[in-house]
Amino acid sequence: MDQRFLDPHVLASISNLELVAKTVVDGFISGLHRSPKFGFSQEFAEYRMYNEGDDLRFVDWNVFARTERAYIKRFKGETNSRLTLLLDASASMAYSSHSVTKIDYAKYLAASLAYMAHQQRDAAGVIVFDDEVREYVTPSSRAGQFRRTMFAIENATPGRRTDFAKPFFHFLSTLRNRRGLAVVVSDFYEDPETVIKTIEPLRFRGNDVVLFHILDPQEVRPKFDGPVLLIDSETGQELETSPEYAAQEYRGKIDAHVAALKQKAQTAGLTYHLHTTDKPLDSALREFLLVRQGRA
Amino acid sequence: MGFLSPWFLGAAALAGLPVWLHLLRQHKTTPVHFSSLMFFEKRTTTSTRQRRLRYYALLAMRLLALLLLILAFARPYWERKIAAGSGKRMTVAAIDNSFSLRRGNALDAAKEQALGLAGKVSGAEPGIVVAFGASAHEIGQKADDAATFRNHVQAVAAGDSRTSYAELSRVLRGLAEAHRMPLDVHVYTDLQRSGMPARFADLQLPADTKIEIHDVAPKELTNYTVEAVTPPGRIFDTAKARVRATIAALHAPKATKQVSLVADGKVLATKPVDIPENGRASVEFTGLDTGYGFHRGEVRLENAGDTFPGDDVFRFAIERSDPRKVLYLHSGRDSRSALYVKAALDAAVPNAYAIETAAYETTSSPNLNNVSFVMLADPGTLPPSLENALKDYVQKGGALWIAAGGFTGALPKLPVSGLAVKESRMASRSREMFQSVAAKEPLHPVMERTAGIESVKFYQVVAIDPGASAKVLAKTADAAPVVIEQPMGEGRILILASPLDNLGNNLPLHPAFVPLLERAAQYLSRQQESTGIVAVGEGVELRAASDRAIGVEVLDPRGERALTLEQAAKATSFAPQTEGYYEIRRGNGRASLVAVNADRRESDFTRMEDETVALWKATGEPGETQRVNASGERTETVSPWWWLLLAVLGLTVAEGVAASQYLYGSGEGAPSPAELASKEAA
Repeated sequence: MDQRFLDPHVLASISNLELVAKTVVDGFISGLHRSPKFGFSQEFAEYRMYNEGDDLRFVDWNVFARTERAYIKRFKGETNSRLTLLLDASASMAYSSHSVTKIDYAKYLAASLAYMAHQQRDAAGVIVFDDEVREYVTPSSRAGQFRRTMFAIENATPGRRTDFAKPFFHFLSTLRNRRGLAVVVSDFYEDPETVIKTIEPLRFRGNDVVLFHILDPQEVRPKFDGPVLLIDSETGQELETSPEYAAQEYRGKIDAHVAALKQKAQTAGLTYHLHTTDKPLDSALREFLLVRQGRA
Repeated sequence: MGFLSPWFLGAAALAGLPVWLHLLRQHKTTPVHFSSLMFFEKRTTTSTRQRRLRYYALLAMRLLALLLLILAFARPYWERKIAAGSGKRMTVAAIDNSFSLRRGNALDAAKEQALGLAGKVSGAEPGIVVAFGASAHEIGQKADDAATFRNHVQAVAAGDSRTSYAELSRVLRGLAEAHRMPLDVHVYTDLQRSGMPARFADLQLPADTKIEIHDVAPKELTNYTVEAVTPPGRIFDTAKARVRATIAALHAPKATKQVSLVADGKVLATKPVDIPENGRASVEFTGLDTGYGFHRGEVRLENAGDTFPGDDVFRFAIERSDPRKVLYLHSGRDSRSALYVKAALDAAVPNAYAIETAAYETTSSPNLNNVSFVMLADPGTLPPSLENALKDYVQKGGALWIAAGGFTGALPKLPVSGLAVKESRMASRSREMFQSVAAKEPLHPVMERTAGIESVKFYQVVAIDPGASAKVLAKTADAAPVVIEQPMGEGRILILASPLDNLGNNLPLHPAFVPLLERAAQYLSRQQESTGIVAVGEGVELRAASDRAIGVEVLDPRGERALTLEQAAKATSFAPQTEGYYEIRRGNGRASLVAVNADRRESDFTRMEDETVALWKATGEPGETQRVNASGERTETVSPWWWLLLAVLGLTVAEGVAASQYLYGSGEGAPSPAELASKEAA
């Protein structure tokens, strides 16, 4: 499949999010097939003796028929089967300087990851949050789970301001005892220290945490033709500034913010990745796969 | 300081435009929704100040450019005083040496008056003597002392050209430009109106030029003159030669004058002529008894009794020669065409051609010596000896006329010429089926007087293929050549693709026949039509542009060579500057005589009107840029508008560079982390 289907501008023209996810993942996977390094499937890992309490669905009955011993068939994928997507739906995610908003990009990414997990028979769920938990789909691999997840992602619309504390508290309180993979998709307009301190506890529980930092190109390198009156999309605050400030001082600050977030994330054992909404999704998917493979 | 167009200063209000652009417009801020103001700071005051400061240079350049442009349009000026001591002037004595100044001692009187200027000439205020007629030229260099100036005045010689005040003005403009000094011009002239140019603007004098006219002719001058003479250029029969002269009375009363015809100094005839008051009369002389060769003739007004005897003689050159021998060959059955040809040539140029006729059947080896050209009437198949003789004759420079008819059209090739014959088309007279000339070369000497030849009905036209070498001079509507010129060796052949017997066409009875045959005969015998008279300053053709290899020598009236070696080798024309007879000797042995007369407009002493003279003087008065006050102190008006426009241009360029630096000079900052990340990934 053509790599251009990973281009967010192309994906923006597809209205069905599930179709977007399939397009992205299928295109990405078919691209990966050329490289055995990234091979990904329900790979057989090992046989182990059946212990009491094991799920009978995984007993290899053929072996039992031949040997009269019960063996459990283990797959690599089984070792990490919970994916929780944390999707920031704050008002700032509605910003866009071109055809794809940050929330759109985040939704494409989340849907693609959910679809990929569904393909792997992984349990996947989503938490849509701003300063509250707006939607919560518990990770599961049951039938219909994928539809529910996709529905929740698709219905995520920009709401109010961001507050990491509440949703993560919710996540921690309900899921802290179950290991899995947590993917946070946000623009992280928060103090890096706060962000990392909020998310870091997940890592202590054995979860793998991936931070996808989504920014618009205009947020990274803003260009204004003249003095502008900026209006904060979350708070409504107005601020007059000059193009010179945006070209020089602002760039320094955002670069410092990104660098601090990255450094603190690495220190805390979190995986951090910055994406601008004009870049294809493949690097995000590749990042996810690397993390997941590391867990296998 | 003042302004020539001060109302333009009102446009200075436009200076507010860049101020508004720079100061008011930039306060406008565009509301922009942004995701988060987390990293933004309020920079309203500082940014505006920075911007204002930053754009000060740009604003200044724009304001300055606009104000300078307005200033340039307002035409500022100031007056610069030049001290009287430094207001040195050059004295110019312009002496008219045209033909009319040959009247009595008019030129000497003019020079005598001009000598009076010598006292004004010094090293600081030099003097220049200019002699002018049809052309004007300085006599020597500028004179720094009175003696040199006098010598220059004395060096002015009489001329035969006509007066041209436009030429004098042109030279004066050149002098003012070359010497960078205002001129005091004294013109010594008879103020002939005929010296005025067609455009008054040609009389424009340089700025700050004082011109004083010294009239060297009385107010009223009566004059009788031989205004024009019409002689035959060449005579063959002396008894029938006619010379007609026009005698004019210019501001003169009615009178009876004796007019003589003179050849080589010998008076051949004298006739009285009654000239009306301020009118003209003509007199005609018949018979010009001269020997063979060139002769110097003149028509002379005897005892004219006027003040200007110089124009009482009008010279002309005349050549007497034997009639040119023409051999006309025809078939025994054709007795009509020779008749038509003889009658036509006799009517056109009486006695100029002696036509010998002979039949092909009886002529096998004709004597072609001294034959001007040969005419073949529908030759058909010629005896080989005759054809070879004709070919040889043409190759060596002879000329041949072929009128092709039915016999010739039946051959595959034209005799002598060798051009291919495609077919011979004969139309019926009864059915009115004929062809006519649809296109011709009107500038070719043979065709230039053949007006109406288009109505000649050609019933028989031999279709001749002209090939690459021959030139079609006339052709029918279906592009069949009717008249063809074919060069062969050193000679030439003219071909008429139809007979001259009045059967194949009606050309012999058509009015175009006589001029066609006359011009063809002249062209074939290489005669030039010339009356042998030109005016002083007019060009005399020496050679065609294609005949550069032939050397030409011109002997002036004193018998001296009038051309330099280079001119003798290359010049195509020559303009004689004095009256008299000029002998032109060409390298091919041909010679001619040209009589040169002064332009008869010089005989008219009608004076230029006083108003015209005043207007001419006024063209040299100081204009808006220069004024002279009562004390002689000169003030010069200086306007810097040109420099202002240059400054505007420079500022505009500088503004463009500065603006592009301000707008785009900030450039891009350091690469973003995303860009770095993508680079790392790559």
